[in-house]
Amino acid sequence: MLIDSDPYTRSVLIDQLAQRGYDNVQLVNSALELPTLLESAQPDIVIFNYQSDRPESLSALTIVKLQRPQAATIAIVSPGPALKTVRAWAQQTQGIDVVIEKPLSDERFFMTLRDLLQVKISLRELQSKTQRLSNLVPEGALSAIENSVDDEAELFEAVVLFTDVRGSSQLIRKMPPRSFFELLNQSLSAQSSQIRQHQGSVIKYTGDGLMAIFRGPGKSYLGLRCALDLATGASKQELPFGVGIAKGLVLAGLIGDSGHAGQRRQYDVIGATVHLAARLCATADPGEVIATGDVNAVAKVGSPTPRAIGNVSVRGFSRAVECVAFNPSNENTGVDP
Amino acid sequence: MKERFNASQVSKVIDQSLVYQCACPAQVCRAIFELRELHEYQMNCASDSVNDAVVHNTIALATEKAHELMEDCLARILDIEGWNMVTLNMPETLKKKAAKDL
Repeated sequence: MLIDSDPYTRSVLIDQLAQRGYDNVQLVNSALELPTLLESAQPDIVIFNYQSDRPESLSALTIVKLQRPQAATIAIVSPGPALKTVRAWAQQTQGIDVVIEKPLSDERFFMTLRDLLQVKISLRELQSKTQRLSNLVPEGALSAIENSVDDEAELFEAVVLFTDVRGSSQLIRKMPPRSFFELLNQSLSAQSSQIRQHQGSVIKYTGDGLMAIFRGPGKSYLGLRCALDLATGASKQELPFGVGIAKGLVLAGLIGDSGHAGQRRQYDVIGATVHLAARLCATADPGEVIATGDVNAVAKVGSPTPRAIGNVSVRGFSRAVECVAFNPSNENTGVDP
Repeated sequence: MKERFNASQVSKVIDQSLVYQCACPAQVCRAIFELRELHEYQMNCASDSVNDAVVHNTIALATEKAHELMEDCLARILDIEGWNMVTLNMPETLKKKAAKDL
């Protein structure tokens, strides 16, 4: 975007830019046009040709920074008092990224323009990669990588939630694999969205289901509330699933081959609580939540009413674990569980 | 230091002569601003000794002469190029020529 109130210098600049391949330049005559233009335009760079006899025109850059703070701004300014005015204004408002003195030399102006564009393009690519990456890796993994804690596992208390499709072996035989894949993705996507809404983090997809954790204050309530919301209607879905939930200490970090750079590693959360939640999920019927007694006691969700199922023997655990079951769909429809 | 052209006028010439390759008056204007800054600095510079003061005055005097020369030069080249000496607007013929040359 080029802001220049002088028709002659504007035409000179636009010619110069076009000669160097910058064809997609939006012209702006005055600051008055900017608010409307910037509603739709998303310029990478805004070039502002400062006319010394119109100091008030600096307000154009204020508008740019307010409406499009990500745009880089270059001000072209005459040396002398005008330059001092603009530099002082830039320092005060942070409204200008680069100030270039007139008369313009090719080297200075176009090198700056090229560098800034390169930075913008790199930044955009990086944001796009980060976005794609964050869709592929578990939540929490990116912060583990950024914080360079690759060799340090973090021990903390969490509520662990598992979901898993019931009877998936039969279901996959009944429908074309692509349809099953599509349905599964829709279901997992909806489940992930629910988990995020309850401030949880999806750690991994486990084939027909997922594993998520909740940490911090209120984790039992948020985890159980989320489990109940997930389970509501889950028995009537094309891919019905059950939910298991348990609370306790877990260990989180990057696991896998760390011997060589570029080897595959994976962020994961492990521990007895994880196994327990997975086992409870495996015993849950479609649309049912099986939770440990301690999660239920702390969460105090009120409704739906839990059904005591006593102590459940869980493979790998020497003692039976006191558990409760919820069938939120039945309760909502008035069916006595 | 006497100024034949004030800051606004000098800036106006530079603003119109945007691109270095076609901006001879602007290059002179730039030199004028630099000389004014140099003169101002010398005049305001603290002098701890008599020698220092002599140094600053010598530079300031030379700067004044150079400044006068450059202002004369600017007036002459603006006249040669056909600028309006009252408004200091660039002549249309020069705008067209500059656009063509660039």
